Amino acid sequence: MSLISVSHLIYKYNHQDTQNALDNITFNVDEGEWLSIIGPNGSGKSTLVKAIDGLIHINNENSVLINGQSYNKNANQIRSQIGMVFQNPDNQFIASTVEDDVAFGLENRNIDFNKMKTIVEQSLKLVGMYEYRDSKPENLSGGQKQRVALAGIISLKPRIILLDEATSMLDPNGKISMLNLIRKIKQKFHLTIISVTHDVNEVEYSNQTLILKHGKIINKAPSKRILLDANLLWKNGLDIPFYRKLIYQLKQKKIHVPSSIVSEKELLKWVIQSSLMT
Amino acid sequence: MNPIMKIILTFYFTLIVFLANNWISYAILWLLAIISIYFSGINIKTFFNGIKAILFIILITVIIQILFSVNGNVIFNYGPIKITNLGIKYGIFIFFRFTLIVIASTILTLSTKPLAIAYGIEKIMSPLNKLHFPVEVLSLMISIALRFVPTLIDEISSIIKAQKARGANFNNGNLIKRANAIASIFIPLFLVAMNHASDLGDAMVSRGYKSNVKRSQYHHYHINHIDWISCFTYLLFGVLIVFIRK
Amino acid sequence: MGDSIVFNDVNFSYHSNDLSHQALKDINLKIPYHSFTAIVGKTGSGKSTLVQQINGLLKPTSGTVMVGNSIISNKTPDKKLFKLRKKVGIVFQFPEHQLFEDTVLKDVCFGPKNIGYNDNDVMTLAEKSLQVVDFPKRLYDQSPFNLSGGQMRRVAIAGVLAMNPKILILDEPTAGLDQIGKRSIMNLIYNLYCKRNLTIIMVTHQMSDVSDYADHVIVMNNGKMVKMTTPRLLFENYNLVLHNNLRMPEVVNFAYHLKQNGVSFSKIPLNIKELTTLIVNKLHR
Repeated sequence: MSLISVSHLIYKYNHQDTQNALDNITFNVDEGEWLSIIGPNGSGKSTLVKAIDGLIHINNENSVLINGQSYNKNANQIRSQIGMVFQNPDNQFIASTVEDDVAFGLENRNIDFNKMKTIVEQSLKLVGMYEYRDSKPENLSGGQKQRVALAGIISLKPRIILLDEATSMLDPNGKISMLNLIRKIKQKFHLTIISVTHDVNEVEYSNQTLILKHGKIINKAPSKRILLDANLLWKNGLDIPFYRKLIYQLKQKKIHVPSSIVSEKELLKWVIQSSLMT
Repeated sequence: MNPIMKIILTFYFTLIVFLANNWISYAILWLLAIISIYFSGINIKTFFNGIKAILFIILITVIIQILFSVNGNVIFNYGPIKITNLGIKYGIFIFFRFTLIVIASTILTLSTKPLAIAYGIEKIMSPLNKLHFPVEVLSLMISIALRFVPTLIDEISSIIKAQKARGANFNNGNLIKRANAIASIFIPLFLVAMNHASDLGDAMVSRGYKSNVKRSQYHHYHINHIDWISCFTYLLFGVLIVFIRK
Repeated sequence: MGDSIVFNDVNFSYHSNDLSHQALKDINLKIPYHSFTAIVGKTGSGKSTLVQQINGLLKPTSGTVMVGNSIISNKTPDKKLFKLRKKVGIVFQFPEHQLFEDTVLKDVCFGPKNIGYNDNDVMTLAEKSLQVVDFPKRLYDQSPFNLSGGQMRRVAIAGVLAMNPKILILDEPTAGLDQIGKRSIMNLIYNLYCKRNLTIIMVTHQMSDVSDYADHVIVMNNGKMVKMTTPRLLFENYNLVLHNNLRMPEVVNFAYHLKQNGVSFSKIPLNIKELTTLIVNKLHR
């Protein structure tokens, strides 16, 4: 059984809408996978992860099952297994200091005070924010707030983390360090990750990619394969990996690059070797 | 110190300030206030910066009171203005009274984190829970509102700048133009705030928040010997005031 | 002197008495008119504070800023600054947050109306700028809040363009957009630069935008201007880039790896065309 199973999911923003925001969506995510969801603005990506997080009401309760359970019957049990990092760092910082914010989820679970102290400390150390535990949100950068949000989720020991464009408001250095942190945490706790993104570099971290357009799935395949299809990426609002652009330009100049090359490192190696040979 | 105790003692202090009615009792209250400032560990400079503005307002009120009081022996007379000895005396008493209350509440706010004050209010109001009054929800609301004050101030200032850059003028022009300029700030601000609120709601639900379920608390404030000593000291001073009272 | 933006010993602090938290320290620079200048530096380095001095939204605590013949100092009255805003347009980060009217067209009219154009001119200016940003005419009477993120941003930019500025400042104009949105906004800005002969000053984190579009670049760090130079000279200086927490554009990064592995070249490639030519030459030798 898959950890996350979405089957024939249909959703409308309003009952009167003629078009479905999510139109007959079916896919599975296995434990330990990292799935990217990509697609142009307004394709329904955020709505889809909100459905998986149980934040929107869906008519057919069995169309979203987490570990075989539906939100209608076992909302509390499912919620304890899923955490979500949202796009805007400011909109998910609930308490007035870093450690209070991490504690918020634990308080909701009615965790004992002494136990809470230890968990908060461990979670903040894990994301490298322990020394900022007394800081107020207005004194933190966007990247630091996202780390705190991640600590708040980790403290609840989830099996699944959802990222809704969680790095899109960060600067380039902030993006990369956040993604590396998520990868580290994923490996450490053997987590399953679903990330909504516009960023081709973020897709490179995932092993499966799903493309959404007008609320429909138009493709789901291993990320490696999607990343090779420049046309597909371009049409869906993503940048093309730099090395693919370079290969394309070289081909225009009648330089034959072997098709076995599927990463920037390999291309670099090939260019170095061929130019030193001549 | 425990925030609950601090809030209670601040109220208690305000109460005994109103009991004082002679020079000695005010002297005793000043002594208590100075002791409290000292032990609160607040920097004197920040303390005075905090109360400067309000002291000025109190002073003006007192001067008006002195200038226009009618009882007592006239010391100084100029046209409609009569200054009497009793007028001066009561003027000073009123000045003391307001200043002492301001000092007490300033000690509370400067030495206590907003979150701790929210916690204290929640605990003090907790008997209301029995009447199905949602005290905890209220306290969470207060602390979230406080947390978003700096964020919203930032946002207001950037919206104002953006509209100024588009030539908005809040001080000149006819009424319609000015109203439009003000709308250009409040509509975007409202939208931004709504956006915060709806996302924040999602984030809270996502992290397991439910309003009617028992939550544990990350902060524990124990009542220790300092609380008891303070409590005892304040009681003692209160008794003293009652005895000295004429 | 009338053809450039000049900063003379500009210091700025948000709390005027407190010089320990200075947002800008001893800035001296000159941006020629009709140039495309990128301002880079990590978050909090003073980039946004710097550009807000240019149209007087913030006045220098000490020193002067000269925009053409207008001088801004601490003592400049607000009335004079109001005039400056006709000359200098500024598009803030997430400019769609400033939209407020009930139709797109009305919102774009807000700026030109404020600075005193008559009703006819306001309409002409607004429609012209919506055309420039390639906004579809059938949506003019829509509420701006029903638009997609990319379209809202176009409307917000049109709102600034309608004031007919000679200098256009943009603070991270592509932040938060998807790739299609990013590409089209950058094309739009570059077109304004080429066809309308505007002076463009752009705050950005995207190093590839610096190498692809800018002819000058200002590096900020901790409130100080570290360097004003050209993109090529900046990216040739590996340490300068590294020490200011910047990243190399992917093209330059690739070229550096080539160089490290014995593939030598005299001039560092700035864009993918230059890199391709370099590789082609190496392979055909």
